[in-house]
Amino acid sequence: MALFVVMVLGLSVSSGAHSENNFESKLPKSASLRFTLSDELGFPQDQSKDSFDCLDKIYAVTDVKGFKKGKHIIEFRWVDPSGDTRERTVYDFFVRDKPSTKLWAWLELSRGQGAGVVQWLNPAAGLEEFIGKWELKLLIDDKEFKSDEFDVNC
Amino acid sequence: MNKLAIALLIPAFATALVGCSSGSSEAPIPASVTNRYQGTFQNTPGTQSGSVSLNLSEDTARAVTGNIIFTSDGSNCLRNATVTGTTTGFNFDLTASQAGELFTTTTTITRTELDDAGAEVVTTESITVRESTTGTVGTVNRDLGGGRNSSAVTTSAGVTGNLNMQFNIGNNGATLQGTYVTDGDICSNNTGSGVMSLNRI
Repeated sequence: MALFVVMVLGLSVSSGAHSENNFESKLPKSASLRFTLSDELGFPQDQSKDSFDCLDKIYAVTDVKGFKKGKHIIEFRWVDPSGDTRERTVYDFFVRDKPSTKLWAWLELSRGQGAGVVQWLNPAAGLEEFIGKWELKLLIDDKEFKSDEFDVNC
Repeated sequence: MNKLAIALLIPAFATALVGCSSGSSEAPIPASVTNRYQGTFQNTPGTQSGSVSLNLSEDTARAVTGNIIFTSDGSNCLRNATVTGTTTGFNFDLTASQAGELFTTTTTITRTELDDAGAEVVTTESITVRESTTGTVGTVNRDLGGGRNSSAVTTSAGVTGNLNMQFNIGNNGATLQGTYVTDGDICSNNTGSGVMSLNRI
């Protein structure tokens, strides 16, 4: 009987501790995703865009909410129109006392050497591989959290 | 070589050049701000400006400490201070306590002339207000000649509040560009907000 009481108590204590540890992680995690250009100081603009010129500096912006305080890893995976991962922007960030954490990354495309000579004939010279629909995959702590598309034209 | 051959060769050459050249892309990661930076500040009304330098150290938890030093071109309500802050990706928030004495010097230039009846008529030509974090309380009167006089009255008041800065970390940590705003009574008449732009030195 005594052994049974100890087992029941142990189970309930264990269960309580488990719930407490997971309380913060049970808050709804969310991450918005949008694309834009930069302002004159290099911050992302408030106004979103989904179509860019080949030589634009393209910003991907996210507001992360509901994640535990502390260190996390974010990855912006830039997938080009051919479906290949063209760039990966990976860095750590800390969730602090603010209700949301704003993070961004940017992508800049440039034409190949030699293409500049003929860009007067064809503005897209050396940038053809970048024209089309790009996808950005947003991963937080190695888990894909959001993805969205934008267009690049010349 | 005839014109037709040249006309054919130019596009062929151009096509070859493009064919040989592949575009490139760049998507950098945020860099540490552990560095010394120097640059300029300018308030929104355009009444206060000068140089600013930051000496910063960032730890592995992305917490930043250091100091900020101002060299004003003239009027300035911002003072040298220690700074604390955090970086979050490319975003960098920095705060400096600005508690201390603020000296306000009001300079009035007047012209004294005699009217037709021989009575003195005093006309105010200009009034300028200069803020500084250092100074001496008192009045300085000067005879500028030609019936003109200046009177500079300096008063001081204790002020409290913070200088809050938000920077974008650019060019692999080589540049900090952003905005600043003060709270409390550190600055008067909206003179305590503007832009800062610094380069790593």
